[in-house]
Amino acid sequence: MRARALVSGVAGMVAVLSLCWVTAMAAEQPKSGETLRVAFASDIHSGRFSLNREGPPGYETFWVSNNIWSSLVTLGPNYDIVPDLAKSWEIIDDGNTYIFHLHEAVKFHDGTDADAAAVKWNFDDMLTRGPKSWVHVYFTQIESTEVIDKHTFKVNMKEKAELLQPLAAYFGGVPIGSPTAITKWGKDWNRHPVGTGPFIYKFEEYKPDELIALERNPHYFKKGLPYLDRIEIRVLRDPIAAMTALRSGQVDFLQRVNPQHVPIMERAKGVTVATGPDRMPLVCFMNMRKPPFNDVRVRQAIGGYGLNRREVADTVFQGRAKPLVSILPEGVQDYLDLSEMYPYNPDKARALLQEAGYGPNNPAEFELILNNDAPFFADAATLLKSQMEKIGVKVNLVMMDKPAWLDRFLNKYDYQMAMEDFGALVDINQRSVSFFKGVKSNYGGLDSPEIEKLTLEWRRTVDPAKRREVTYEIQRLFAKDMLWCNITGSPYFQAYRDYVKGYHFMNQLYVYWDTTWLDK
Amino acid sequence: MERRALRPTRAKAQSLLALTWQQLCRSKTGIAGLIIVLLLLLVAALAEMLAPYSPTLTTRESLAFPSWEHPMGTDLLGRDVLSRIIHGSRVSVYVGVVSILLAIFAGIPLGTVAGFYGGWADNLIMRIMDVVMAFPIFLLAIVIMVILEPSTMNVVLALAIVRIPIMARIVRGSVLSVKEHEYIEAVKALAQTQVRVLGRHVLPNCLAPIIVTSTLNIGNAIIIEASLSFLGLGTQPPTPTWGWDLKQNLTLIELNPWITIFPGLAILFTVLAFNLLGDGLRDALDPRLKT
Amino acid sequence: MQEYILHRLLLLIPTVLGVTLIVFLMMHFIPGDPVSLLLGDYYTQEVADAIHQEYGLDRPLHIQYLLWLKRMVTGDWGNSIIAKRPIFDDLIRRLPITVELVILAMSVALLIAIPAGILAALRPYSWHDYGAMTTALIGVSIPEFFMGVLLILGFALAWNILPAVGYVAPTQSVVGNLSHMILPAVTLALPRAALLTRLIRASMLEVVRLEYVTTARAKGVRERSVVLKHALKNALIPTVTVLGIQIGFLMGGAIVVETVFSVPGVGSFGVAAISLRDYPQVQAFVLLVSLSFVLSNLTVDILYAFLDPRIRYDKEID
Repeated sequence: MRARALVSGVAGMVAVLSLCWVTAMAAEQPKSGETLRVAFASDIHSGRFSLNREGPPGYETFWVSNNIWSSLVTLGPNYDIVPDLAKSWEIIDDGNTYIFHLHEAVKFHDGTDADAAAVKWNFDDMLTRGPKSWVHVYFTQIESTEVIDKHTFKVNMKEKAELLQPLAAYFGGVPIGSPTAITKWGKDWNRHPVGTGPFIYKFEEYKPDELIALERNPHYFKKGLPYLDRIEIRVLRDPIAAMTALRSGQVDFLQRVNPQHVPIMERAKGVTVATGPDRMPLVCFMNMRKPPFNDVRVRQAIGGYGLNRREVADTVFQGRAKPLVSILPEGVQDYLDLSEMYPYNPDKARALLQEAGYGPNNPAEFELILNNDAPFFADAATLLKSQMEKIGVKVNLVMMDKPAWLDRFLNKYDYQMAMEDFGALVDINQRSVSFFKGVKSNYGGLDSPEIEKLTLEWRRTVDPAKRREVTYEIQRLFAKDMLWCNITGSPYFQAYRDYVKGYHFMNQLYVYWDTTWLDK
Repeated sequence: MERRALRPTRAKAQSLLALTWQQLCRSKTGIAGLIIVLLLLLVAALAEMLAPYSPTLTTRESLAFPSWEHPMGTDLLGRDVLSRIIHGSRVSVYVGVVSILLAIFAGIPLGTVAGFYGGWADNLIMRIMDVVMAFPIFLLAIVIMVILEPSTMNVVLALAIVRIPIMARIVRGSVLSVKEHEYIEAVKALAQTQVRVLGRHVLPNCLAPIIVTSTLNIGNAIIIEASLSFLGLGTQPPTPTWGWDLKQNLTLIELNPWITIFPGLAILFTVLAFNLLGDGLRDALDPRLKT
Repeated sequence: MQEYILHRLLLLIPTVLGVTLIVFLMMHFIPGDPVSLLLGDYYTQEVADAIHQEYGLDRPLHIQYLLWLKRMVTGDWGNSIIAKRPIFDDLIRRLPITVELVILAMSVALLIAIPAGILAALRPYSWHDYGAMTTALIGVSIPEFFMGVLLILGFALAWNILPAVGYVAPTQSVVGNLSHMILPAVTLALPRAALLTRLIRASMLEVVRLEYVTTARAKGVRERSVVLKHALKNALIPTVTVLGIQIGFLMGGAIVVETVFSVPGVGSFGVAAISLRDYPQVQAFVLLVSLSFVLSNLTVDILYAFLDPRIRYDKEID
């Protein structure tokens, strides 16, 4: 009797458990179909997808285009280099030559072949355009390109150099667009982007500031993907309206959530908040071309010991940011924690200032310009001002809108200190364009032959371990003389409904929706 | 006969005041408005004494709920909200009152010249005023603030500029109606008395509409300052203004409503008070005055 | 009468020219340019110069003005620098949306103002009067963005009965269109409701007081209703004129509301253009708004003079 009961009991449990397991597996099985409704915080520069052939895309533009195009290689969910259009590659002679083996029978959205010839066309086009193409600066070491056969593409470098990292990581590197389409559309080519990506851009549906529509590419070369039928992107500028739209189910995905709103979103029912280690720094740039920041002691006092980074991280970001001394934020490849170099020490700051000739009778004074792009700039700047008061330094805050700020910061270098959060980084090389003396993007007036030398060495090094050492050294050099003043990391958050599955958060570097599906 | 009727005396002015006061008292809301406005001016004047803390003192007590130490709580940077509200009254009063005063001081010469000399001067000035008035007030304020760097003084300037046409028109209207009397025709020739004419006849004549318009517009100025801050084109941090505090803390409204509700209430009551006072004055000063 | 209309039309020309001049000059006094914004971190002189040349931004100022004027008049409103697309098309697309929003807002305003104004006028200086006026005045005492956010949090979030943002065309769904428009329309309506309430009350009071002065005491319901009708008629003219002015004004004044609720109208278009320093776009926007304001003022003035020629021609505009 009892044995039978036991057996049926166990059988029953097994049945229930298998049912659960099956249901669970079924629930995790991606479902095809459905439309993903996305909200962006700003528009995509009105529908110009420049394929990196022209000026830099805005982030929003880029995140749409990275679903339309493929590059040879890209970054995977773990930020490692993974195949995209190229299914494999060979690095020959320590980086003198690169050979890419492409997927076969890949077609562009317009039906033409995406073969080695098309790839060569895109590379050559970028190289010919030179400085007009903003990515060119990362590929100056390319000598020439060759088509070996229909599916094999070769790049010859001028010297041994790293090619994969820029291709995979810097805003898509050289995305591969259809040469036929580009020639066909003439002047209007950037409104009709044609690539090999998982989604097709519906240019006829585009309404500026309103709607961006993407549809499934039925011939995507990664079989089985994408799952979504359609993506509709709306531009919702007001953060409260955007959050409400997500919570009430009007949209499924918010491209950006302000740090201040994260507590609310975390409490919201049915909402997932995604974030990761910082890749973007909150910088207060010091203009080293003129006083007071041309003096290293002043920089170390104000940007180093006198700046209570922890207070900013805890207060302005409500504990969601981390104090940052190194030029690279915590989540960036080869980050080095240099916080012991500049612990918060107001006395030491005051001593340094005195050495530099400032004191109670002659207080150091400077103007801090900031823009109103992000609400936390004003808070961080205000906090910085009170912190400076504690070491006897007077700060004048001047807030303006972004173009006016850019005019002073970028065009005229007319500032003493400027606050901003700079772009999300993959590695230090992405930032290195600004390290060279005399370059327009050398905002702070940096003049360090040593750093320039190390940067060039980084570019020539193919071995990741050796590159790490170089990166560490560069970071130490920046921190030693306080040549670049980061305050904290600038954390980035996205939020989406719980039924959005298969999405990999890539911290602003990419927003890929090819593996996303809706569990509705 | 006309001469006597025209010359306003001190006594007449005083009785006008008394009459106005009497009429105003009839309006309970007008009196309520007056009381709140006076309270506001008092708070603004005594801000230093009344505020328990400095409005720019940052502390670690971020986002504290209202308590005995902080009756209105603290904001993100640990600053006492009550102190910021008290000091904020200063900026609001400053922005509202000074911008209107500037508009009046610019409007008087413009309106007088236009009215007195007529002809091409009148046409030119009025055309310019028309052009300025062709821009919706807020839009014009935005553009002015984008051209000038955001700051409290520039906000005042922008608000003054958009109000000048109205003031000029009022003064011009008054000059025109005074001109109609022959007495003035005779006096016009004598240059030195023109100022007297201005002081004795024109200004008292347009005093009423100017006062009413000013009172009503002060409230509007405060609202515009808040909206400019919303667009990031208003006053500079860390200046404590109600508009800035309202906008900056709006995004925290769900979890920490007090830091945005209190500035909002401050704006609400102040603007309401000025509007009620203005309405009361309008009713009192000239019941025949239409909008 | 005709002389007056002609006179006003002629006066329009220098005003419009003045507006265009100011609009044009405005742009050139604004610091920052769209090119830096476009290129940002990766600004190079070559690319910048190319863009400047393409848009004729390198020519002397007066030449630019005249060229621009000529193009405006011939209907070529130019291409947006950021979008590289004809501005006219975008404006035409957005105009009806703003117009719908404005009309809805004014309707709501009237729905509030008429009963409130009548109530206040019937019993002046009573608690009805104070209550109605104070409630109406709250509309002008709260900044629009605050009101908008409160409405969103209430209706879209807490009670979840209305959508928070966006726009649905009436051709797609009338219900959808209205449900998306109602919150922004109400936000826009409240300040105008306050203005109109005040106006209706004041003009009705004018008549009511007069009648009460000549009639020693109210003689009954019939007399009352005659006075009422008279008062309402008197309020009609100024109400209509203010309505007209407000509509013209709101064409560009709905900036804040359109931004908060993400309504794709003319206002949000203009504000985006200003923050991007897209000169051609800003100029087109400011010009459109000012012109519609000027035109509506003119229409109102003429209408006013037509309806009531006794009134002086230079009246205050609030």
